[in-house]
This record gives sequence, structure tokens and C-alpha cells, in this order.
Amino acid sequence: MEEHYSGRAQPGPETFESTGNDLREYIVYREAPGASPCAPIKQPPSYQFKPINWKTRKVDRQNLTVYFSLSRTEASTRLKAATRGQAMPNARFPTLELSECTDESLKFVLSRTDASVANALRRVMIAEVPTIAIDLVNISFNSSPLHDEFIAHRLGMIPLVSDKAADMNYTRDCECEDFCDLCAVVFQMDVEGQVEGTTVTSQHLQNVWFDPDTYPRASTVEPVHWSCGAEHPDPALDASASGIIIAKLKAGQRIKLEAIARKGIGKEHAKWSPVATVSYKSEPVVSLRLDELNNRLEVAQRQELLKWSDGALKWDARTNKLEYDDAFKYGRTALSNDFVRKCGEMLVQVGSHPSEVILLNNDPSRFEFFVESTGAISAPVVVVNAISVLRNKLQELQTSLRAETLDRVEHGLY
Amino acid sequence: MANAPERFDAVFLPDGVSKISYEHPMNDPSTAVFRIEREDHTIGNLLRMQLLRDKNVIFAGYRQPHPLQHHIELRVKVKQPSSLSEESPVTALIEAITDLDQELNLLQDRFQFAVGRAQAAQSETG
Ligand SMILES: [Zn+2]
Repeated sequence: MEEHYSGRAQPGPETFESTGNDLREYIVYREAPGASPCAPIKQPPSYQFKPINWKTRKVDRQNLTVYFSLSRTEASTRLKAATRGQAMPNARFPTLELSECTDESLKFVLSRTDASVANALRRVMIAEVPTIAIDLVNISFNSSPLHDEFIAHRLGMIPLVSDKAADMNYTRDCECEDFCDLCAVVFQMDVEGQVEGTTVTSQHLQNVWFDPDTYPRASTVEPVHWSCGAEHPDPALDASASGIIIAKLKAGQRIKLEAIARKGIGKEHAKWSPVATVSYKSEPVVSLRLDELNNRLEVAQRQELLKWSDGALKWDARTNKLEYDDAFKYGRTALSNDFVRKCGEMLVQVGSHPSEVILLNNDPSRFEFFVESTGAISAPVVVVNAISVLRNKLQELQTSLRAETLDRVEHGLY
Repeated sequence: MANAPERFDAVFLPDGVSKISYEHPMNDPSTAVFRIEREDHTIGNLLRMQLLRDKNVIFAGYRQPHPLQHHIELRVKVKQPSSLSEESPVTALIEAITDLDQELNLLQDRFQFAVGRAQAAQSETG
């Protein structure tokens, strides 16, 4: 079961790619003992990747640099062992529970991490996951009641299927002169109002590069006429059949245009955001400053309070003081509303302010996420892409920080 | 709209500009101010909070100097001013990034596993 992988200057994501159910776990050793991860090592350090045999595990703490898990069920206990072994003293090992999972929306609980991670994820989902949206509109004829800019803006807001966005280029990075099928998609539309009146919708946008053999990427991009699987009970409002309304034409009015869609991110313009909403809330966690509580309340009051605690607190008969029950310490029980109210009343009676003893959300580590997709990218893929975007950012930052430091060493700045 | 800033200014790193640069204010090797180009509060706060978990870091803070300047400044001070191969603000930041990357790697695996299981369950029932 001894498997060795060739040395690598820096653990890149490709080394760690798992197929989801890969149960192997690795420990990464730096070859030179005690070497610093900092840049001014003229030769890049090499690493060994070894599957961990947990039964006979001997952690060489000095040489151990990076630990991570590709496992699932037993991962958390093993990760705990690894943290006790101080493998990565400052790393967190978050857990995740998925409660609702469809293409349109997701609900999950992210725990054992920090608000900065939760917030970074939320911000990246909103603003930095690339999608495709209409960015340039050439209007050749418009006698509709809406002026050109109005129509162009409405076209930009239509979500386009962006599953292939990751494989496409940003136009500014592309090698083409103006735009091409590697960085753009062209739609055409020519609608004339009929006698009974015509509603122009996203259904009228025709992808010019529709042939999947010639344009494997561009051909997959089409408007998301209706992101929700269910049909609306009112047929007049059911967009699954009609598409997204762009304008309404009377007899003889006409819109003729060409729309060029490009890849972009929500930070540039909100039309590129793949989500309708991402939110998280941290679970309200109530904790107590027990020393203060025991000081301020009388013994009788403390005994009374014990009854309200539903087993979250216990009585120390030796000191006549309240203590946390073990179950509370491990997060299996919580303090109820009634307890908090009762405790607050008692504190007011003895002339204290409840906030001096009762702590609310002191250190949130559990976050309930809600993600709703626009339909451009399915909700689970938005999350996966967001994590990748964040990781790429961090890795890019680390690479250039190493390069910057090497540069300084070479220029004698140290 | 002649003087409007380009929309992609906030995103696009111009040629010849390095993503991250730093200096030691007052020639103090235990302190560094990192200038991170084309990033915002997403990365700034993430790195700050991770750096604060490091016992050797005694100060970590960031700011975006101006909303139309698309860079952030991250200031890090560590306990022991010493030679570069040991603890320095630079190694602290490198390790903070490594820790965060591993955390996200684990999260990615766990998320994909959870989604795979949910989708398998759905296809069984539906
Ligand atoms: Zn191109």
C-alpha cells in the first residue's frame, strides 16, 4: 500500500483532485527536514505524497507540512487526531450538511469555520463566479415603444446557460481581433408586430453559432427562459412556455438586432452574477459568563435557575456553583429562550444588566446558507465554482508572493 | 461618459503590475504591509482572520484605501523579528494561505460528496 508520487515544488490542485468518493488520505512531507515554506530557497522544496496508514501512523511533526483529507465518513475523527498532532495548528476543518439540493436552490449548514470564510464564499458566489451575459447590442431597426438602451439593458439581464463559461475566454484575454466563438456568443433577433400584438421574449433570440460540431462551446449558450422546473398555475404568467418578456409590439412595429454575449463576473456588472441570492445566518448561540453568574446571584436563585436550564447546567455540590454540563460543552444541548428570560430577570433583580452575563453569538461557527441560482449555472455548481475561484485566488497570491520574495533576495533587498 | 472608469478596472490586473508586493515600514522586519492588487474585502478579511489564528502574529489588519483604487493593504506584525527563513510576516502569510487553501480543499470534497449523495437519493426516489 506504499505509494509514492514524484516530487512537486508546490502542492497544486491537480495533485489533490479526487473523484468524490476517493477514500485515500495523504500526508505531505517536505523532503528537507525543517525547511521553511518561505521563498528564498534557491531550489524549490520537493514533497512526498504518501497515503496515510492510520493504524501505524507516526507523524513526524517537524517535517509534516500539509495535511488534508480526501475521505468522508471517518474523516472528521481522523482530522481531529491530526489537529491534536499539531499537523496544521491554525487550519480549520469545516463540516457541511446539505438539507435541500435542487438545480435552482440549495440549503446547507457550514460549521466549524469562521465568518470570514462564510462571507468570502458568499461574496465570491455573488460577484466572482464567471457566467455569460449579453454585453454588446447592435440595433439595426427599432420602432418599438422602448428606446435602444432600454432594450439593450433588458437583454443583458436575461440569464444565459453558462455551463461552458469555465472553458471560455474573457474577450480581453482572447487572441482574436474582435470576438470569436471562444470568447463570445452571437444572437440575432428580428421580430415584427402582428395585428393582434406581439410579445418579444427571450425565445426570439436565435443563437447564430448553434451548430454543436463547429461551435462546441458557443452552441450550448441559450437564454434561460424559465429556471424553475414547475409550471406557473396561471398560464398567462407561465414563462416556461413563453420565455422572458423583452418588449411588446403593436402591428407594424419592429425590432431587429444582433446581441453579443461575453464572459464576465458580477463584480464587473451584476448581470454576470450567477445567483439571485446568497445568504447565510449564524445560529444564535447563547453562552454565559459563569463566574459572573455565580458571583452575582444568591444560592437560592442559582438553584432556581438550574431548574430552567434543561440540563445544560449542572450543580457543583462542593462549591454550590453552577457549571456547564458536558453535553452543553459539546454542543448537544442549548440554553432555551425561557432560561435566558428567567436569567435576565434575576440579574435585573440584583442590579446587573443581563448583557454582563449572557453572551449572544460570541463566536459564531455555524452558518446556514441559502443559495438561489438565476438558472445560468445550477446552484450546486455555483458553490463548487466559487470554492475553485477562491482557491485559485489564494494560490495565485501565494505564487506571486514567493516570486516577489525571491526577487527581493536576488536584488539584495535582504 | 468620457471620464468614467473602465468597468473591468476592478478586475483586470494590468501588465507589469505584480499581484502582491510588500514593504517593511520603518525598516522593521517584523512588520510588513502587503499591497494586494485587484482584490477587495473578500480576500482581505479572509486573510486577516486566518492570520490572527497564528500565535506568532500579534497584529493583522487590512483596509481598502479608496473604493476607486482596486487594491487592499494588509498589515501584519509578528512576534519575533528574525531572519527570513524563520518566522516573518511573509512566512506567516504564506502559511495562512496554505491553511485556507487546505480548508477550502476539504470543503470542496465534502460539498461534492454531499451533493453526489443527495442527487443519488433523488434519482432513487424520483
Ligand atoms: Zn475570442
